[in-house]
Amino acid sequence: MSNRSQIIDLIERGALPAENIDTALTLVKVLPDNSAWRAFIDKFLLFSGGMSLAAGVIFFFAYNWAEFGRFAKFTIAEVLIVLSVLAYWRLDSQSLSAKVALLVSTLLLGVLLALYGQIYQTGADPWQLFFYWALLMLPWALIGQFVPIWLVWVSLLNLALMQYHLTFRSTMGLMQNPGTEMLWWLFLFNTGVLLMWEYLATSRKWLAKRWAARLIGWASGSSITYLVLSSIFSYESTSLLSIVVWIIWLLTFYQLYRRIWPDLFMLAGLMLSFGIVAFTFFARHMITGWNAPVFLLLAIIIIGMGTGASIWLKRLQKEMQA
Amino acid sequence: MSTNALRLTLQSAGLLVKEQSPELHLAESPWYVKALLGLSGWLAALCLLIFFGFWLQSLLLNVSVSLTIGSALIVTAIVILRLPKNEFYEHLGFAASLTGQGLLLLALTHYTDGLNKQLYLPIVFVQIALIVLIPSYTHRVYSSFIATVALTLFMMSVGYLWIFKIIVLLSMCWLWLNEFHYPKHMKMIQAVGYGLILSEIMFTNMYALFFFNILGQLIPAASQFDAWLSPWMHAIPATLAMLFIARQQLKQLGHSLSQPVSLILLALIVALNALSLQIDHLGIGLLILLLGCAGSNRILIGLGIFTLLSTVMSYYYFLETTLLVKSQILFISGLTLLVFRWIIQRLSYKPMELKDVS
Repeated sequence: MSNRSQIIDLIERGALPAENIDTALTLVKVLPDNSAWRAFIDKFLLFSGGMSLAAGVIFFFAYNWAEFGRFAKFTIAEVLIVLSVLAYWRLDSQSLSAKVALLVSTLLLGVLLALYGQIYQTGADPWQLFFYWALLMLPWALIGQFVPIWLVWVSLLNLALMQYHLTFRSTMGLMQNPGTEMLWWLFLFNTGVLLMWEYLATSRKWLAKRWAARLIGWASGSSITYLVLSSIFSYESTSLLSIVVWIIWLLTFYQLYRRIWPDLFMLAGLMLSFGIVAFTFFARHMITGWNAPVFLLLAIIIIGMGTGASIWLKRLQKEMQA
Repeated sequence: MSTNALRLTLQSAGLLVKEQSPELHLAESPWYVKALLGLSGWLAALCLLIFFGFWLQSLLLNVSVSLTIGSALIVTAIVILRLPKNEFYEHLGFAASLTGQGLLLLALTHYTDGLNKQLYLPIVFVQIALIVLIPSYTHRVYSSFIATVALTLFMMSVGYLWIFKIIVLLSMCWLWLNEFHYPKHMKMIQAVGYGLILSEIMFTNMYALFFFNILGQLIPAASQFDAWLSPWMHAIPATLAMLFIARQQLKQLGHSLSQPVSLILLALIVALNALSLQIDHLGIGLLILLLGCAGSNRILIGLGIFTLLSTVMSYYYFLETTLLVKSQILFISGLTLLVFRWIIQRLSYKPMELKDVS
C-alpha cells in the first residue's frame, strides 16, 4: 500500500485529525519536498528530451527526403547511434542518463534497419525488420539492465510475430485458422516472457517493476482470453485445447500470484478473464431469440459474479496487507 | 514505507489519535477493483435495459412510463447505495442507477428529437444531484465524468467552450491540490477530480475514438470539439493551470517566484505549452502528470503518461504539417528540454545525477 493510500486510510478511520493532515503528508513525503520535485523534473526532462530527439530522427527518416542522398542518410543514422552509445560509455553506466542514452540507441537502430530496407528495396518482409531489430539490440538490453529497453524488446518480438502471421498466414500450417495460430504464438511467447521475468526479478532488483510485469501479464491474458472467446463463438479443432490451456493458465497463475509472487492486480486480471469468458459463455448459449427474461438472468449473473469477485479480492487485499 | 513504519513515524510525531470507528472501516479498494465494479455495473445495466426494452416494449414507447420507471430505478439505486457498505448492494445499486438513467434519457429524447443540446443541461443537473445523493465512489466518478462531458458539449453549442475549458482545468487543479484540506468531503473531491480528468482524456483522444467510430455513433456533435478550439485555445488554459500549480507548490516549499530556479521552471512551463501549439493536447497530459506528482498519486501519473504518449503518437498522423517539419519541431524540443535540464541542475542547490530510480 502506498504512503498516500495509507494516509487516506488513516483519515477515513478518524485516526488523523484535520489539523495534522498537512504535517503528516509532508512527513511521509506524500507532498513532494524539494528533492522529490527535483528528481521528478530531472527524470521528466531527461526522458522527454531523449525520446523527443529519437522521435525527431524517426520522423525525419519517415519523411524520406528525396534531396538527401543515401549516404548522407546512412551517415546521419550511424553517427547518431555512435553518439548515443558514446554517451552511455562516458556517463556512469548505472545513471539514468546513461540508460536513456542506450534506450535512444536501440530506437535509432530500428531507424537504421528501416532505412536500409527503404534504400536498398531488399524485398524483406516487415516482420524481419522487427525481428532483426530485436536480435541486434539484445546485447544492449543485457548490458543496460533497464526495464524500458526490455519492454521495447518484448514489443518488437510481439510485432514480429503479428507481422509474420499477417504475411504468411500460418506457421508451418499448424492450425486451420491463421488468426488463432497467431494468438497462440502471442500467448506462448508473452507467458514465457512473464514467467522468466518474474523468476529473474526475485534476484534482480532493477527488474522488479510491477508495472512492467503487469503489462506483459495483460498481453498474456488478453491473448488466451480472446482464444477462449473465439472458441465459444466458433468451434474449431483447437477450441477444446484453448479452454483446457485457459483453465491451466488460470489455476497456475492463481497459485503463482497468490502464494509465490503476491500481486492483487494480476489476480484481478484473472478474475476479469474468468468473468468475461463466463458471461460470454452464458450469453452465447442462453440468448436464442428475443427473450426478455434471459437478459434479466444475465444481469443477475453479472451482478453476482461482480460481487463475488469484489469480496474475494478485498479479502485477498487484507491478507496481503497483514 | 510499510504500514507499521508509517504509523510509527506519525505516532512519534504525535499526529495520530485513537481511531473513531475502526470496526466499521473497510480497506480502500485499489483502482482496478473499482474499475471491475464499474465494468460489471455497466454490463448489468445494459442487460437490464435490454430486458426492460423487450418486456415493456410497448409501454416504454409511452414517455410517462419510461420516465416513471427510470426515476423509480434511480431512487431505488439511491436508497440501496446509501445502505451500509456491502459489495452486493454496490453492484446492484450501480446497475439500477445506470438502467434508470438510460430509461430517463430514452424518455427525454422523445421531447428533443434525439441526442442534442437540449438534453445536455438536464443530464448535467441529474448527474450533479446523483453526485450529492449517492455516496458510492465509483458512481461519483461516473457521474462527474458524464456531467463534464455533457456540460462541455452544451458549452460548445452555445460558443463558450474556451472559457469553460479554463474553468474545468482550474477546477481540476483546485480539487487535486486541496483534496486533503476537507477530510469529510475528501472522497467526493477525489471522485469528482477523477471524473474531470477522465473527461479531459476522452476529449484529448477524440481522434482515436472517432477513428474507431465509437463516440461518433453516439454524439456526432462531439466531432466538432477540436474544430471549436484553435491550438492556442488549448494551450492557454493548460498554461494557466500549470502556472497555478507551480506557484502553489513553490509557495508551499518556501521559494520566492523571483528566484532563478523558480523563473526557469515557469519558463519551462510556458515553453512546454508553446510546444502544445504544435502537438495538440500536449498540455493536458503534462497537467495531469504534474497533478499526479503534486499528490504522489500514481493513478494520475499513469494517466498523464498515457495521455502524453497518445498525443505524441497521434502527432505522427497529424496532417497539418509535413513529417519534416514535425521532425524539426521534435528535435528542437528535445534539445531545449535537455538544455533546461542542464540549467536547472546548475542552478539547484547541488547538481544531482540520478541513479536508476525508474
